[in-house]
Amino acid sequence: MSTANIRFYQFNEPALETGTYSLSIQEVVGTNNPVQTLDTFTQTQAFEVTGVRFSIPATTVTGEFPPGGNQGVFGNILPHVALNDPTLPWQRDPGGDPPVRSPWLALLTFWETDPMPAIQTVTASTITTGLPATTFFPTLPAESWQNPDETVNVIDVPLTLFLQIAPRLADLNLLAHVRETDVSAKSTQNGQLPPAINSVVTGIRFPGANMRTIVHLVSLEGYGEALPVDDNASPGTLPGAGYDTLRLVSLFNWNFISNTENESFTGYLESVTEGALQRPYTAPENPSDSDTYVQNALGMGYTALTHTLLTGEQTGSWYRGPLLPLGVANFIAPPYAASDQLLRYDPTTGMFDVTYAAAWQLGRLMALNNGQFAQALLRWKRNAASGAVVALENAALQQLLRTKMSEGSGGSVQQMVTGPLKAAVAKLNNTSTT
Amino acid sequence: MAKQFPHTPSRGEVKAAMSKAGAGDSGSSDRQVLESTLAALMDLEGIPFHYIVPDVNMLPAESIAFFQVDQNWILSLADGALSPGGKVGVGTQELMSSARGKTGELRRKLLKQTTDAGAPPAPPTTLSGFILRSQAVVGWPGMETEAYTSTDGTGLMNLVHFDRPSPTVLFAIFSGPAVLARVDIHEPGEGIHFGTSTPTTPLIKGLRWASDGTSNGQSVSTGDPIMDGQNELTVTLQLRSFNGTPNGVVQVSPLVTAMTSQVFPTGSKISTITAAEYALEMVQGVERVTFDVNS
Repeated sequence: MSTANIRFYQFNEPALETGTYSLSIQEVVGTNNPVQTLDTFTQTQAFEVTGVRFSIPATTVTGEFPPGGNQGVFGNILPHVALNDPTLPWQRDPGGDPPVRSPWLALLTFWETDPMPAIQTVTASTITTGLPATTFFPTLPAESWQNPDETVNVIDVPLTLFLQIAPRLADLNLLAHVRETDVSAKSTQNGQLPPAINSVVTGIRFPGANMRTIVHLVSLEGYGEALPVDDNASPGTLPGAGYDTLRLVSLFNWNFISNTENESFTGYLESVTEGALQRPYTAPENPSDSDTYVQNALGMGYTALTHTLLTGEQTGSWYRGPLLPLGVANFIAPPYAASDQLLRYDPTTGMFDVTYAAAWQLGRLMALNNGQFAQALLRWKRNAASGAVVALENAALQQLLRTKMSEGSGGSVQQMVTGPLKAAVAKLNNTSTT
Repeated sequence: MAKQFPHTPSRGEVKAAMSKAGAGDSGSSDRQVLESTLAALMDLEGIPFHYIVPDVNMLPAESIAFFQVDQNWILSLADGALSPGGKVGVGTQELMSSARGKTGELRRKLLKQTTDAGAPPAPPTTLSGFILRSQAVVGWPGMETEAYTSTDGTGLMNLVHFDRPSPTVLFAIFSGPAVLARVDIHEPGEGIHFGTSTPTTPLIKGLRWASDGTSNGQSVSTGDPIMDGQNELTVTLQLRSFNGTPNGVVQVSPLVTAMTSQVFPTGSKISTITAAEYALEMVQGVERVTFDVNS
């Protein structure tokens, strides 16, 4: 049994939180004796750390649990969402006086009976447009890179409900962490592996029994002081009285149903049917020879497909993929010059087996479709050919040389090699003596 | 008498020379491109899925099928891939077999595993695997898998191909000295979820040691369950309640207080529950399903 390790980290803070910064350098020029300042040089440089605020790209979410759109025994599960940006929960501040390293993201779990808040779509510049005086939305410092037309999802939550289901400000720093997992046993999608390090935000509310539950990943930026101060829904402080509703930015949401249906991981997998990779076939009561033939063919993984012959005629042919229920002996002996060499004809049925011809043709098409591969292949073949010619020439020359030397007429060859050498040595000797 | 070349090279000599010329360039970049691309093709990477499973009826909903890879098909594919440019390269046989030795290379590259460290993986004698079609793939896309050549869980095989050709389909190929005999599929590590040990009230949570140390003279390690005699030491979660009705919201603060007093063994270097310790205590183990493959 293999074991996989998982690491939990308390937080992963970015080097700088999202926001506007100003960097100042001051240089003072003066003398020590007498102590005096002659001049002061100051340079100020403003810069901004950009980041997400009102929406996150869909690709940020690595996974959520309980799985969105599913139903199952989730009654004892606290929802969580995994994000592929390990620093995201710590890129902003909730405001107020939270414990250090409190995230600005939190999960709010709504039951169908709460009722669930409606999701409204606005833009970044119209979040507060037409907002009733009784609905609170924090005043957030402007960020110059903010796209005013960015699509933003918001939910309006009654203050009493918010105070009952939102985490306390003091608990926030426990509700986000970083996980590092081993991805060596994971599947790829579109050729990509999932990230090994994820930040995880967890909720504090269990799903409602036998009903739909929706979970919102909300931004708490500017909400720190509005969070409940205890577990009895005692309100925090809001700037001004008379609020009965809060408008929250929802960055991501998913819903599921918690019931007694066993649509759990093991529930699904323990009920899958084990079978061979073949087309299902029900034989008639008194199978004819051809019925039996078809049954056998399907049992070996074959499928009948329409096959257009080179002559333009259409016929039915057998094909099967590379995955077989049983092992088969290796009888293919490449190279072949054309896919037709791999066509197999069954005279008893008059049908072709196009399996290996199709595989060969597919390989050829994929090679031609891959420019880098096709070019490398042609160069390699050409070099192999010219390399062979050079090797043969060398072999021939060496043989010629050996023949000459052994024939005793090697004097000329020796002279050819040693003559210039002797002349050079003599020249050198002359130079040193003069 | 002017000597000619000693002789005209025979067909066999030309063939041998070309094979040698093709084989002797293992360092060239072209050769590496060819080997890597061919190795990926031979692991069925990037093959249109309808060539692999030609008929959707072969994969009923909620089914798993175990298979062996037909080497004839793979060799036909590879020979076809090496066919452009004519039948010049007699070294293609040698190229194919060295590409075969690089099985799983694409996946290792993705995992940033280098084969330079340690011995290169043995060339596969068999390739076998499974195709799963289930709603579980949609709900748990990060599920993980291992295969063994023996049903007792020995003989861990190399995972050479593992992808999701569609949202409900999981396709895995393993290489090893024998055909797979057992497949384990389990929930993903990042999907390890927060939850309680029981689905009904009172909501009970088994505790784990949050640090290495000793307890009653026994050394304990991080993550081990804390035992209270024969039973696991547990904590009961308190829920917020309004008008006498619990609304499912956990009271985090008393939970952390209860954890702090129980999960740090003697000699622990830490004594505070942070988000990391809270996560360690609150996670439930992953579920695992084992299939024995009838051969």
